[in-house]
Amino acid sequence: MNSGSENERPLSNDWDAWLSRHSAGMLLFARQQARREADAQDLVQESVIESWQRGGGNGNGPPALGLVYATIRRRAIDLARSQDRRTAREERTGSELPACWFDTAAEDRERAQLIGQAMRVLPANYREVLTLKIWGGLTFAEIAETLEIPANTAASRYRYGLEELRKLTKEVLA
Amino acid sequence: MNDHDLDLFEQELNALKPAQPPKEFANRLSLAITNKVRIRNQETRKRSEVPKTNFGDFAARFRFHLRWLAPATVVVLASIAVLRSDLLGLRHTMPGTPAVPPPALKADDVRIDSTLVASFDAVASLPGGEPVRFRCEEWVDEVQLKDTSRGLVFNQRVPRVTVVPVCFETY
Repeated sequence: MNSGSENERPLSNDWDAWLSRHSAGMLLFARQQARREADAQDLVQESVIESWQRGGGNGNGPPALGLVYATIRRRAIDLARSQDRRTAREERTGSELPACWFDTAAEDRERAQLIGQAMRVLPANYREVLTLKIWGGLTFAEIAETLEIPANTAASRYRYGLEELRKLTKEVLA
Repeated sequence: MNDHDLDLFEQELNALKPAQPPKEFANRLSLAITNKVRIRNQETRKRSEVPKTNFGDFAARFRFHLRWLAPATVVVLASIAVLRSDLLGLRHTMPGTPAVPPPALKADDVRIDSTLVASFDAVASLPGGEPVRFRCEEWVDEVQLKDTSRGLVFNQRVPRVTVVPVCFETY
């Protein structure tokens, strides 16, 4: 990874694999935090780079996933604060978030859309934990660190979030 | 809602995949990371590399070494200056020669006095032959300063003579 020949490559295999595995989950999390698609994409890009630069001791490899999610969240909060100061007209000019957060190419397209809609109305503290655990692939310890909450709280929020989401979707999915 | 039901729902969620990022975004992200990695590699290489020059290429080697030689020279000169001033200061503080000037005298008792030592008249003649009388007085002016806190007494006595013509006497 650190050899001279690999330094000349556009992007290492580590990065390629890491991005193809995690970029969808990171973007999903960012979309939940942002108001516009462009903002969500910017959040992911800036957070990945910032996390990589902050974890400079790890060489040129990808950063810790938990750090990226924590950075996305922190940057999203900062962005929301700054956007609150914008005028409504400026808000309307932004590109809208996609209708569904999940892959709708599969055969159970309606189900994916339904879960996506239910996720939008789920309380944010449940939604964050569910997203980080299921689609972000983080452990409860990592989620706790990312959200700055105790690990037990993360686990209980996950449980309550699952139940709540199930309730919201039960009638249709049953 | 039982645990089994919830487990099935969890499995269902796990099977659900997040929407893939748009191609344009994926490319942009990859390009941004590539650029950052490249910039860091270049900076790391610049810091660690010594210019590969022949022994004959003195100018290039000199320029490279000048990077640390110039600030090092300043530091050495500054150290010498400080050391030298310290040594000079040490020399001044040798016994018998006070390094710092003594503080000013704080007089808490000042006496000024004039004492008449002698008084007499002298008679002389003017060029025309007329006699003239002078009153001559010898005085001693005395100034005394005391600094009781330091046990110092400064005493100065200055003699003074005054000659005053008293009258012209015509006989």
